[in-house]
Amino acid sequence: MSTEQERRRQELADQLSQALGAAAELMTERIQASPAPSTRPARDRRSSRRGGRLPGWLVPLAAAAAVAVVVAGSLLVSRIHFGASQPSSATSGPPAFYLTLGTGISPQVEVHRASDGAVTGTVPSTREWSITAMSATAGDRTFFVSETPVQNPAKPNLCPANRFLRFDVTATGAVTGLRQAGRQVAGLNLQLAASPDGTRLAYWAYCGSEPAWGLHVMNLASGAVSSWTSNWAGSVNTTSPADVSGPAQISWAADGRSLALNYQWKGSSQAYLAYQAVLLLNISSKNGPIQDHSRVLWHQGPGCKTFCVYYAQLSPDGTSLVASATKIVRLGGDEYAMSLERISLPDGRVSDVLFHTTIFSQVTGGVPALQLTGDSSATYWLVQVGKNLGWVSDGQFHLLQPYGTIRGAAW
Amino acid sequence: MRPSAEPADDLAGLFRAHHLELVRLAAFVIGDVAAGEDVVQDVFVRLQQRWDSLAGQWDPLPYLRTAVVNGCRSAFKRRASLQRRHAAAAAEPLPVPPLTAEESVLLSEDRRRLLAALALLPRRRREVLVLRYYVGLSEAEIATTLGISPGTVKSTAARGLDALARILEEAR
Repeated sequence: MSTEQERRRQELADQLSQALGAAAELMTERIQASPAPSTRPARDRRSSRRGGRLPGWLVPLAAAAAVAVVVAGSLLVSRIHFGASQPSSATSGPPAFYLTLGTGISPQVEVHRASDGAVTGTVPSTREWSITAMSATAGDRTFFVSETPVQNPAKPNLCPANRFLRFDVTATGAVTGLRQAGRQVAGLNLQLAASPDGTRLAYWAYCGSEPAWGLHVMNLASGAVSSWTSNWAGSVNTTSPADVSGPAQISWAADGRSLALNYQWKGSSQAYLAYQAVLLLNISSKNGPIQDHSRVLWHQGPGCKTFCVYYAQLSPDGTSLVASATKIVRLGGDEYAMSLERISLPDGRVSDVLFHTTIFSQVTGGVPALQLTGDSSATYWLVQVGKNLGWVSDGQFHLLQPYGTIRGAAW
Repeated sequence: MRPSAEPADDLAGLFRAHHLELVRLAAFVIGDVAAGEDVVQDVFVRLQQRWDSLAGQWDPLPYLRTAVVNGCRSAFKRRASLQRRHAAAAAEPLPVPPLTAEESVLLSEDRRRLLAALALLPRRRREVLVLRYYVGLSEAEIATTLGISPGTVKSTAARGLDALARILEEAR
């Protein structure tokens, strides 16, 4: 057998291993509700499933949740050591309210008071529409959600309708002025980012035929939509950091002229999740291939060996990234050091560690990473740490609520 | 992605430690999460009936893997039998990647193609590739699980990878 043939087999084996691992993570959500056999005999489970494997309205939400599963990649277990407390240097406080997207039969968006986590208002899913994503504007009082029609799991629509809702929050946290924003569009939307001034929405939409994913920006006043697609050829062997195929995490530059896209670019290493890149797209280009109107701001891999970035967001002033990085402390074990760090641009050096913690976890796949959403000043970060949701500023973690009952948070 | 070696002194502990990975294994082999759950559930129910006589005397994980793979084969045969009874042109049912449409769109295109190609392989090759590159077993462990020789495992894996490459090439 030739060395070349052996090399090809090994490369394909690596790719197969990655594909199986990623698919396994995606199906985890559906599997994990299963009870132990001693509590529920097999015959009972079969008959109960025959009535309907997955309620239709759950399907798009399960997909949204799967995004979190893929990125988090783990079931985190309890023992958390928070970073040392330091006096806050922030001149103004964190946002007054934050949103959570719930789980369960009727998932709804809840508005919480950030001072104590109390629920002050709700935006329920309807029988016909399911909420799939949410985003906050810089003003701290205006929020958007996207929702898609409830799917029939036996005949899923790969290009469903999608509409956006806007609402405001009063000083006491009540939801007011709930209404449709912009026009209805086509495509399953799992990523949504409102522009800092709340006049435009950026979103990825999936619509079946190739190219499957498109990045869109809608002007809410006119309903006009600009669209970009990736010219990534789809080969697993490409190694360019510009290989974004969607759906990337979106963050807006403060001037509203650019979008930063954070994604996993296509490498062939086993440590595929560490191949991260951030690309800056000039949205004045209106339409066309993403790569023709963008530049790679930063990328990582294959040299990442210690603290590897698994998520990065552009700071509003565009001079740095705030990134979630994880280091495997004990190889094959269950201890992970995680940090929230600032990466200066364009040199890509870590200029500040905003927060650090150690988590002991039972990992079912991938590497655990802090999930974060920054406020408009990039001073306060809404972070999932293990099974807790809280906010971080100046190295200190402020607990808000358990994360287990929600599938996403934003402020 | 070898399951964690979590100690499991009782059946419930064994279930908690290995259920997820076993269902994933079955789902990849049989092409359906729900059918995979049924296979794994049946394996645990049968194990429950024999638990008192087996507990503490053996390493259960290799047994569980073998039972799950055999359970998948039985499920295939049942499905094929049903198809022969109810369909005019009954070939062996082809498994498909065990993801919903919404889950599939979250995979990159190359991974979708790869999983679709895997589903087209003959059953034995698919079993070997899933055990090797998903579960992470050695050739010797796969040989024990499937009841074949290590040499057969090696040649089956190599042919499986070559077949995958051909399917992907033809689909371009």
